[in-house]
Amino acid sequence: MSDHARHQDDVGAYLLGALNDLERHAFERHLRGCHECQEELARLRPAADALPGSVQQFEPPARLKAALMEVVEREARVTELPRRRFNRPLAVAAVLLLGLVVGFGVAQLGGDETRTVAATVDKAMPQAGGTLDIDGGEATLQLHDMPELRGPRVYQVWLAHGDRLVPARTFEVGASGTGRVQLREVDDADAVYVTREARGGAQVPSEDPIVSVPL
Amino acid sequence: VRGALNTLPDEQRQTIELAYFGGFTQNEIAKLLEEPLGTVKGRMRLGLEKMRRQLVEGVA
Repeated sequence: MSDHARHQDDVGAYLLGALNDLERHAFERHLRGCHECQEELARLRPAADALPGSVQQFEPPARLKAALMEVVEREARVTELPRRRFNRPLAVAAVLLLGLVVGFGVAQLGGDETRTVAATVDKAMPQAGGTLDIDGGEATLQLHDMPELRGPRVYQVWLAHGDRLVPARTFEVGASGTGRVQLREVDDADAVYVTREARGGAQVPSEDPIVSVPL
Repeated sequence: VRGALNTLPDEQRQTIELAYFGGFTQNEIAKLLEEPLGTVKGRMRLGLEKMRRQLVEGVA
């Protein structure tokens, strides 16, 4: 395969920042000597450049702001207390903030019917991540690089309605670490959470969420 | 621009959103969506191409 054949499909991913460091450096090296890719990049760049402005036009709704502040304040309180089993550092609040902002941007861009929200994961699982694809009242939670649970334990999804947590489906991840769960009646929920529970699922979560998706 | 993004087929729009707003790499997106890497690359490029056409037409 020629150098050009290997790199010509990377133009879009490069403009969207979706290449990892190695891929980006390789593409930039190729770009310096490839007139065709330079032209393609210049041609598509206006479309990518137009993307950031599309998010900034919107003010987050009050409910989202309130949810964010609640998280930040809860984290602040936790740091003042002696270390408890489920203490999470303030950094998680910052990640949640990013998740909310990103989620909001994506939500706005996606229109009313279908939207995609990025999941925020506990820092104990640095490789893990995922999204919630919402289509009306139904949604699909997709997670990657989740640790395989040992013993008779499963992951369980919860739907948050204010302070109330409603148990939803349980799921397992195999050696691949990927999990995919279809959810119903998410249109009224404020957030989707995942915890680790005993097989069969629980009625009340036994730990703080390790995955959070604000809605 | 928001209009342009919303007119894309769902899979192109979702891929661009995950990359640009979600900060996922093309490999992560391929894993998430369980699609071949080449498909993900193609969606990003085709999506941008379609948005570019709409921008040009909007100006003209």
